[in-house]
Amino acid sequence: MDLETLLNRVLIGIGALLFVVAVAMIAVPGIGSAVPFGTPAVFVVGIVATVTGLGIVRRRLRGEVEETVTPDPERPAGNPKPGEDVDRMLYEMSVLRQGVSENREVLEDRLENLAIAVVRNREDCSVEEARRILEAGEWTSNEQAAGFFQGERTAAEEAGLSGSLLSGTDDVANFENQFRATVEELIRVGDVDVSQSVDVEEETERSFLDQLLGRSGDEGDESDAVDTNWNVSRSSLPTFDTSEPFEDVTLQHTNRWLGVTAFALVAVGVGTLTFTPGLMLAGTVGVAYTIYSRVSAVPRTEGLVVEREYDIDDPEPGDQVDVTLTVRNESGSMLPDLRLIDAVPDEFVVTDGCPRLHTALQSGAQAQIDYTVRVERGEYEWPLLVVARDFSGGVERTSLVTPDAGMRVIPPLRVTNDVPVRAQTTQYAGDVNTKQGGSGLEFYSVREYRPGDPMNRINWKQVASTGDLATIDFRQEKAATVTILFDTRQSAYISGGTDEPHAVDHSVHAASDIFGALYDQGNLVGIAAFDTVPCWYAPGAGSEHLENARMLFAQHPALSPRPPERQDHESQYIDPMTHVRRRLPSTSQVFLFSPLADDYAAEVARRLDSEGHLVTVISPDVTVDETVGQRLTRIERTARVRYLRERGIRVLDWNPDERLSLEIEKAQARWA
Amino acid sequence: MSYDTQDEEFAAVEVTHSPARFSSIVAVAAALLATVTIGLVAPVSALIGLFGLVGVGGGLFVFESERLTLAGTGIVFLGVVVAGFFADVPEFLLFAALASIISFDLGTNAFSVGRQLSDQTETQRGEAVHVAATVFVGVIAAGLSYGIFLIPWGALTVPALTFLLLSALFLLWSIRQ
Repeated sequence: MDLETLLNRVLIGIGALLFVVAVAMIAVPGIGSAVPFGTPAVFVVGIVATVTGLGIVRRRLRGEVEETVTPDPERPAGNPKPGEDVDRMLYEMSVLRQGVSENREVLEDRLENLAIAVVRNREDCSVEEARRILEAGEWTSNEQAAGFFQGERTAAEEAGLSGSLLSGTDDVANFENQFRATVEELIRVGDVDVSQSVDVEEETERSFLDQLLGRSGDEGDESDAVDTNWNVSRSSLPTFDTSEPFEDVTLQHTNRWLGVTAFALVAVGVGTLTFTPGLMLAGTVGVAYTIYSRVSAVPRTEGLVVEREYDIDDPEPGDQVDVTLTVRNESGSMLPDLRLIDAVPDEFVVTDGCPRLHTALQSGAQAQIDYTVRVERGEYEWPLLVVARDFSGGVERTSLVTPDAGMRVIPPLRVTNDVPVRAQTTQYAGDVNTKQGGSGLEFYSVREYRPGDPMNRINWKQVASTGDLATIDFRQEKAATVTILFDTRQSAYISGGTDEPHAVDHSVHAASDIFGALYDQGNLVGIAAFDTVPCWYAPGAGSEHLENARMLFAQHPALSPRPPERQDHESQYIDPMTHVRRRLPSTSQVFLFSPLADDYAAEVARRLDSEGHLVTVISPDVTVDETVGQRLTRIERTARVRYLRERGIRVLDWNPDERLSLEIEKAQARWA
Repeated sequence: MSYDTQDEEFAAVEVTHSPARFSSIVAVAAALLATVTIGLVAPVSALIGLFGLVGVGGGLFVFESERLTLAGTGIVFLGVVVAGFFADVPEFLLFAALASIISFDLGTNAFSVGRQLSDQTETQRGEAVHVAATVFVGVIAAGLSYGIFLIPWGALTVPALTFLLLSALFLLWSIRQ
């Protein structure tokens, strides 16, 4: 016999005893006064009742209500901003006082590498020379910043450093101030484009705290609005992936009536103690609600029929789709308390309406939910989250009902504008101008006639005037082989703001336009990505190739709008240097899409370039410049762009707010 | 397809989780009713009730704190008990107790609806059904017990009634699971 049953029996025993006493008192009116200690006993019961009631009040105030926590599918998924790691490290050091020495080391290294890159770029010197300039403090007139790199390599300083770490707090504040000053100085020295008027000191802490609390960084009166959402992490449901049309998640007592007994106990107790029949009468209402809360019926949500309709059958990424959801109660009984939330996929954002409803449905009745979502590439099928309660709300049943209404969002691969591929020579005829003469359209040169030259290319004017045969060569146009390579590692899933697409989304959107354009120009185009999942689609041509590429953009897990750490599949590290390089045709050009969030991406571009592939880097700039970490990442990215350009690699530093086609036109003028 | 998220039309809708409005209003109204009722019986207790009323209103509309709201209804009910201490007018006490329990239920329901759904959600129908059910049960229960109260039970003394009510409570507790 477990504790629960034992407790139940004790309760029944006490109840029965009290009942017998009450019946005895009513049946034999004199018994109350006849029993010795009759009045004191009644008093004790009154006191016990009151105290128990107060105990229940206390329990209730501690909040023991159990209910399903629901997600906020309307809001965009939260992706980290660039530089969040730096801000976090600084926050840990200065506020939480954690990992002071480790974080300090990491930050120092990072800043030093950056400073070397900046100084090298400015002075056009070697790494050793740059290091010497840094350590000598000659790179800036700002003493605080100059001091950051000075002499920190000496053994005495190291010892002094660790000594002072133990000693106190001022040291961390000093380090932080110096760090900030150095970053600001690097911005100035490196001539990096940031907005100057940011109060860096205050800004960091506030915005980081806000992030920790999940608040938006906007005005104060919106501070309780939900900022970001991942369906699973914001709700108590373990998963929203269901293969079944109906799936029960939980069935629980909400305990929401916990405390109502206190009304009865306190009223009856005090009524007894003060001999106030009115209070005891008032207590009966409490008893009645206690009964009400105990009488529960499990809502029959399995009888719900859910249908979902879209106004567009084949949406494209970025489209706004009107969704109409109809819920009909065919359970045969009333569902008095239905809380419905359409669990819109994380990749989508609700732009109008509300995917939720609170209603009650009679048997046979139906309700409708209308809302508009902005869709993103991929294949989706999502459930309606049904939280149903009985009349009193004492029982809560949570289920997922998945209507048979999948949605497939596929990029159109539209041709928006021409994309410049780099001049090269291949075997296929196409659009790329080469430095070879032959058949073509544009005049290239006139040369001596060689037997076998086609007659239509003989320069008859020259024949007429001099009598010598000569042949006109036109500039040969050839097709290029282009591989579009994506950087889709976790580090590329960064975005400049809550409601902004992350860098991978920007890349894939841009790439699907560019793919269409390159294909239209007659080039052989392939797709690859370096990520935890291998992605390779060899360059090719033909309408089937185009169709397959569309599907790949939409469905390949490596190009998914969902970052790798939130995907289910087993992940393993794949080195692009072996995975991509082994398959890349030797003549293939590479269009690398990467936010250049770390040195590795830049290194990939450089290595592919040094192997003879012509590399064009298209880098959506998602860096922002509010906090010190964000400013630091912006300088780092700028340094990487310069590093690549120094090596003759084309880099399109693309601000995603601008149209890519315009940026390409501008860049083309520069490259030409 | 490069879309601009700065554009109002493409931005995500706002989501906030305040207590549901309709239930909140009814909860405050019920607490007010309870306070006025006990004020008619014993003005002193109305002061306590007023204190609780501020807690309920502040908890629901200003601070959005469920605990404050709960404490508020508790204090209103304390006012009812104190009123009973000063003046034993069963009808008024019964009504005030009923109103404060209704306020308790609707206040907590407002928070629950606000948490699970959102301010932007259409909740009137669901809330209305809940309010109706709670009020209905309360009125029926109060009517029944008042009816029984009116019947002259010669032997039903206060101690006997105490034992009867408490035995009912214990038996109820036992059927909890």
